[in-house]
Amino acid sequence: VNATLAQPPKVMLVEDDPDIRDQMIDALTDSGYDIVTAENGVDALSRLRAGDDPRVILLDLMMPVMDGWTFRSEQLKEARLAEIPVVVISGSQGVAREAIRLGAAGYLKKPFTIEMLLAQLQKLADRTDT
Amino acid sequence: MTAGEKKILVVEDENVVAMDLKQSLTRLGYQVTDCVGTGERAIASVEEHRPALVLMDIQLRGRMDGIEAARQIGERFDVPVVYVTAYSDDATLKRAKVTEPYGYLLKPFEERELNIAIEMSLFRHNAQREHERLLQEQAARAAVEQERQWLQFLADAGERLSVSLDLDQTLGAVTRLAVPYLADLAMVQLKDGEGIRTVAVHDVGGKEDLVWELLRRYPPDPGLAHGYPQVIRTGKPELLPAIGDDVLAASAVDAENLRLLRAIGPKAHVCVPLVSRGETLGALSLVALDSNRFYRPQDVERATEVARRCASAIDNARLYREAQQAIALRDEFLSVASHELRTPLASATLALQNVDRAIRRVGEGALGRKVDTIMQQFANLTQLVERLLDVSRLAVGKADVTPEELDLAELIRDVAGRFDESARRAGAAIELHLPARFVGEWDGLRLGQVLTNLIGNAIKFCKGRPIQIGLDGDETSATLTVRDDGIGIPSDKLPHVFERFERGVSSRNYGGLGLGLYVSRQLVEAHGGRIRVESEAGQGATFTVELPRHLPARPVAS
Repeated sequence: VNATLAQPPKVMLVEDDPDIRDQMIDALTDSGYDIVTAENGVDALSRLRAGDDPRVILLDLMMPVMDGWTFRSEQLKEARLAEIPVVVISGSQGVAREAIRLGAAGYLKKPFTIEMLLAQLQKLADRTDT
Repeated sequence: MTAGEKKILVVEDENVVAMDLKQSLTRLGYQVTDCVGTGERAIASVEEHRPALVLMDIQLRGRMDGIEAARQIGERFDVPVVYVTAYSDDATLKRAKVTEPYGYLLKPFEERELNIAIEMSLFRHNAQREHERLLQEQAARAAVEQERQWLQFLADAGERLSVSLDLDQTLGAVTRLAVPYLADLAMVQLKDGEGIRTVAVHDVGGKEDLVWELLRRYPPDPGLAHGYPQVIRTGKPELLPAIGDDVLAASAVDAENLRLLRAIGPKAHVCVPLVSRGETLGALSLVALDSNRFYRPQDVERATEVARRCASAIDNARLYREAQQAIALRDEFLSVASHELRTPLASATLALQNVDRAIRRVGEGALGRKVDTIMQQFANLTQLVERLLDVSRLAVGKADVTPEELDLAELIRDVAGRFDESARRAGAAIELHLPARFVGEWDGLRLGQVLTNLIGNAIKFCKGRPIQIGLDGDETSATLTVRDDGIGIPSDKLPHVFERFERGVSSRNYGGLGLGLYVSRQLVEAHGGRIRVESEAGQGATFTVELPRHLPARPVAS
């Protein structure tokens, strides 16, 4: 995966479903990522404001307390946070369209495989490296 | 007709006079059928002999005089009567006049006068008969023409009412239909829960706005004992042949109400219930305004006939609307259901993959194969969920295609690669005949679905023989083929394979929802492309997809 594991890339996962969170923590940790999680938009914002600086945010859309759309608009209000690319995750049919509307860097439609997840992250890494 | 053929009845109670008359008549060439002396016998004789004319003495013996006898003869038989009398006093003349005699001969008279009186009476009578016949013929012809117009109107009505399944359009058509053939102003009111709603008003004279204003400001009480509330409540028609100003004044609640009523100026109305399948849906009101239109009971029949057609059109439109709503509800349900299904599928899929990775690390081969099976089944489940939703969305024409620049050859290699495992299990080789690169503008996700369906089908039906996938094209289009040498599609199924829930084979031997090719066609068409199949039973099948290389218009992400 990553040749230089000196500093594993950090990923933030904002997802309300604990099972999905657990499985993604396993899968991403296993693939050499450093993963932090948040249960909803409010949780994610407070972590980010507290200093978390992930390379990418994996953002579920339908969440209680603060959904993905609201999080995204809050995120874009703060220059430091706005720079962090977002990959939208949803089981909705229109996820691609939503991703475009939210100005996301990519999207994953539930259910997705670990390979699809890693491919998304790799594509983002390639983009930011070049 | 010669005089000899003209039969005359003589009614005269003076024998001598009667004989004299008979002789004169015979001399003149008439045939005297009978000579009678009383009114009663005169009537009986007319009934028996049907003479061409009756010469009637006014002064007769018995209770019935000549005038009364003539009256009854005129009433019962179409036989002209000429009075022959010595009386010419005013009272008698006045009474005699009422019976519309054909002549009045005052005694004594010349034979010549008698002849002229008889001939003129017969001529007048014939002319009158002819005139009546013509009038009847004219009336009959007019009735036929009216009937023809009516049938034509009904036929037109049927046609105009069947144009649209849209409820509002249908209601508009109903009122427009009635004006001006049946009414100067037409309204449709429909039951709306406990109340009544006016849904359409139409007239020729621009009074629609006044009617709407009247109904808005002075809505009739649904319990009203007349007008459309009554008709809707009882299901019985109402005919008001004449609506005078007193009626308007009596029904108005204030001066403004009366002003509006007078401005509209209803002169007569027919209101009939709109009944379909035994249920009163509402009422159709036909109103006469300033024209010379008047309504009779037969107009109620006609209005009822029109209302029957209108009601079934309204009913159809309503049923259609309800069906549309049911479909929307079903689609909504499928959409929510598939979304709800995805979340557990997502976590299960990820968990399974984590298990799979763990197993591979410790090299537990037997367990790994079991996990493979579960993962394959999850993939199938995922596809089923996907297709269910696709079908519901495609049913309402919402195949959304988000085109992006992509290499179709790479997409094919990618999708085909995912079938390596199942192809190996089916004992079939997938052979690719592709250019190194073939870039165009397509929705990769959607074309991936199409490819998955086509390759999946090919593997399912290939009977272990190789599958050929080809890609060819030019500047403007791409042609993709998926060919197998398997069981093929029977010719009777071939035209239907792209329809919903169709399958070329029995569902007992091969599973699947029968949606794959339907969805594929919708997706290809959403790209502006076409899909077709060539096959024969036992000879394999070739599916060909033709796609424009660039989408003509990019759908705007809204």
